[in-house]
Amino acid sequence: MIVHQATSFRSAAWAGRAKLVVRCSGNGASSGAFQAGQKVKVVSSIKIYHAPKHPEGIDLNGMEGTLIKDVTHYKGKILSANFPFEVEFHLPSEGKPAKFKAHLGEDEIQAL
Amino acid sequence: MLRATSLPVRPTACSRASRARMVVRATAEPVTGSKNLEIMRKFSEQYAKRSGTYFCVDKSVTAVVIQGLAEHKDTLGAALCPCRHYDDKEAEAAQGYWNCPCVPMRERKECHCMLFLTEDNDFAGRDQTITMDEIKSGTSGMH
Repeated sequence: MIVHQATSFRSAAWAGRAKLVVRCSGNGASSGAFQAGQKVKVVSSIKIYHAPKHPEGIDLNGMEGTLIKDVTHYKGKILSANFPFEVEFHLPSEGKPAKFKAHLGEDEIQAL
Repeated sequence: MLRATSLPVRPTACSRASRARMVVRATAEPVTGSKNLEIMRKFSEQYAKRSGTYFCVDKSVTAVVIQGLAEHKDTLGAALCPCRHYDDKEAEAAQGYWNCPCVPMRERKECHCMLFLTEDNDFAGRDQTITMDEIKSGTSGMH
């Protein structure tokens, strides 16, 4: 979103000048708060159904994972995913370590 | 669409061997890619069963979404969610987040199109099936 702020001072006595302030912030999800590889923690109650060995669903609240990427950035474009942060989680399990990825929103995770 | 081609034959001395041949080739072109409509109808039934979700009590909601998925499959090659606005549909279809079943549905069983509804949803019916007739009548009156 591009925000323009223009104020102009016009006065012969003050020799004012027009000031143009342009503030640009990237569209898409990244406010720069999270980076790939960052450890994050889930801070709201989110039930997901695609974790291995948990078809009945598990709540991710309180779980910690690693941020993989922001999926709104794709080949130089900005796309419209509403849960843009792909986070990898590990589940404790006897035998082979189980891991899965889930997509989370900016306000659903906190940096560690 | 019917196409007829005919080969006119000039009568000659050995005209018994030559006959006028009329070739009629009939091709039926599907309206709005009805092949993809059937594909998305079947997919919707299978995925509802697989995910333990149900169609809306108002099947016209289901029908309109299935129609929209089929149209995107026709134009983009992928069943991009028809209930959202996109700046770049081709890029979205290539990246896949919103390709049905979309990420929110796959992970959270959240379908804002109201195509797949969890049992506890107020609008969930009891059906996990929808016939082509139901789709046709549910979308009649659309473009």
